[in-house]
Amino acid sequence: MPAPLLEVQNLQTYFYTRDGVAKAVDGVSFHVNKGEVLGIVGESGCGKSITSLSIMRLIPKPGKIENGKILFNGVNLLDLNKAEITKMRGQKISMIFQQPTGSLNPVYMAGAQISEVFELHKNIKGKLGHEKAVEMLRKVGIPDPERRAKAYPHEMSGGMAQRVMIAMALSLQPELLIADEPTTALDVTIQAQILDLMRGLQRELGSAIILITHDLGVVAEMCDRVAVMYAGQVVEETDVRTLFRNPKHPYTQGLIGSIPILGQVKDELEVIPGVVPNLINLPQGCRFAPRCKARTEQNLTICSEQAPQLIQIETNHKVRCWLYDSANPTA
Amino acid sequence: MTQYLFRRILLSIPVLFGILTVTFFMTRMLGDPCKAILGEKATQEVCDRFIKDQGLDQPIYTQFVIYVKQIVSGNFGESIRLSRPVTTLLLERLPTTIELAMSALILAVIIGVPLGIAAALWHNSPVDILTTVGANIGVSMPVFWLGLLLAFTFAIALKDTPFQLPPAARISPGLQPVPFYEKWGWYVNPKDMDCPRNDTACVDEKSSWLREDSALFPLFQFIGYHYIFNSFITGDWKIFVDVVKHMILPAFTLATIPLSVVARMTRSSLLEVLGKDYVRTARAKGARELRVVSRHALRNALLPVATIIGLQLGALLSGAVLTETTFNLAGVGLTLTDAIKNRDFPIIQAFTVVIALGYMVVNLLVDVSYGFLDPRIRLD
Ligand SMILES: Nc1ncnc2c1ncn2[C@@H]1O[C@H](COP(=O)(O)OP(=O)(O)OP(=O)(O)O)[C@@H](O)[C@H]1O
Ligand SMILES: [Mg+2]
Repeated sequence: MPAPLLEVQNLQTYFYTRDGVAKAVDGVSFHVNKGEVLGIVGESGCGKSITSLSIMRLIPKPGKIENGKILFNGVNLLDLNKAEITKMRGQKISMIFQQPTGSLNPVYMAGAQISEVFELHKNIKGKLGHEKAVEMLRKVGIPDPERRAKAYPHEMSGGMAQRVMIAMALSLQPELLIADEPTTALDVTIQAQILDLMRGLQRELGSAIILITHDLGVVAEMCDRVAVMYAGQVVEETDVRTLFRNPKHPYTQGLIGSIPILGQVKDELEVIPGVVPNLINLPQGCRFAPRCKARTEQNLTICSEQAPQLIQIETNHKVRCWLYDSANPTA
Repeated sequence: MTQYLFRRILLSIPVLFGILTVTFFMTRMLGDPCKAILGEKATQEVCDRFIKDQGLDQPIYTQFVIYVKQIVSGNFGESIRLSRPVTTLLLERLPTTIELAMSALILAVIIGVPLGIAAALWHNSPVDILTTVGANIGVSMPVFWLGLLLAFTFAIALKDTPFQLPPAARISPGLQPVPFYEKWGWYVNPKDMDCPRNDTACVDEKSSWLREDSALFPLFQFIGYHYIFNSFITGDWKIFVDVVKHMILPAFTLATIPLSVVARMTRSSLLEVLGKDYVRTARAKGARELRVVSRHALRNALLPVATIIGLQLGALLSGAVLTETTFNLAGVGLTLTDAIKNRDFPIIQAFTVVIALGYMVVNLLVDVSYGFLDPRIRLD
């Protein structure tokens, strides 16, 4: 098997807040192969954004990457100095965000914001830079790109702004695109268009994508593999088929059980009881234990005592749960 | 744009007329100018004649109509006490105030903005704390008190050191600036012509194209009375240094409050902008930190600073009154306070209108500049 494009190993990113240390990302490991789409799903606040910002090394204060390795083409991004990581951003790894309109600078025209990428990394300026920007706008399906290049962010709809962001992110054909909930803020029809666009460009350019979402429908449609996160950790990682057909982790099972299925009448959608634990005061043992149905049903005591490890149960399937752990003394 | 300007100018006319009316009637409530001007010992007879000469015996509405008629024809009347046309006084004294206010504003911006930026970039560092504390002291410091303190320090305590600065007046006695139009030969002073008395032919021959009776002459005079500007463009460095030295203490005094306000605003605005999504985008696309701050954050952070500067200009005008009094600078403020004390109605009226006009022009400039700075704002 070829080496993965990106390999995150035991990443720990903590926030030193007034109330204590919030372990937003606590031992996250996953990998992304060249040209594939990896989905990261999980409830709000489980550390998806912080994981992706850690890869870009854009963690805001009071956060700090405490531990781990982020190997990109074999190079640990955490070892790079400021100038080196700056060169990576926008060129090898780019990112798009949830709020497209807020992510564009209000005082510059769309075209100028795109051509800046060429200026920063390729020293292409002036007319040529502008032409390249217009070309990118055309590529992301913006009608009348010449005119749109002169539009300011406040003159654009959310969908349009997200297209501009995508144009900017893909200008230099990066090997990895991180899309942090790129469609959450958009209308359903626009969502579909944006996802189609990303899919199309991904095939054309061969970039790998990390797609962060909490919409399992999007995952089913877009992703090759999926990592499920819970309270700052990856709890399950597998290919998309296996995830939907044979989810192992009780949390994943809960997530999938909560999807309404078209044409099938359920009396009640299953919901996972309880809330995500406080990242400052994490429960001892498995973080999901307090909400876990399997634990109560099978009467497992180890869950609230000892934290489970992420273990490989099949070639392409990893789970962090005592139910599948051979080290589990009670199993 | 032109339409917008036109509308704004048109709209300002009723406002000016309102101010004119209010000041006119308010000044009449100050009381009898006779005793104030001719002294407590003036007899009733003398006073009566004085009142009649000034037209103050007429019914107040008649006075008002006469006054408005005068103004429309460009005549602001004559100062009661100084017996000089008010327009001439304005020409001479407004430049002092303009130069004072501009110097203060420039100081406020070139010191306040960088301080605010430094405080925001090194948030919670000693730079930040010092700036914040300093700015808080700055806004709460009374202008006249600070003025006296500075005057004492630089004129008395530091006397005979290189740091000594003059605490009063606009220029050292004995120095006489030559206006640019004279220096450049656009105008020849009759004193330098040595023509025989009443020899108009000689005067005609020696005159240049600009003469005292030209319609534009007052405008040239007005520009020439900006001593700092005038000595700068004519390259008269001795006078330039002297007038700048005279301006330092008043300008700093007047600048303290706006400087503090500008620094605080820059700091908080930049702090806010640095947390915005588009700043993160700039970093994510591979811009270096310097560029992120200068190109992406500052441009946005300075928008509210521009507004605050516009608002401070109004405060500068009122501050100028106190500063001019403290440093004995014959500007609009000092003239106006003197006029109020002496019930010199024509001066009070005209100068109030000029201050109001200044306020309006400044506000218009700020609004227009906004249209250029912020693409979200369109003037129409
Ligand atoms: N600036 C910050 N200061 C303190 N704690 C933070 C900060 N940003 C994030 N965190 C912590 O990190 C945790 C994870 O945040 P993150 O933004 O990664 O969640 P997420 O999975 O992206 O959620 P969402 O789906 O809502 O975007 C949060 O629950 C919070 O405790
Ligand atoms: Mg997020």
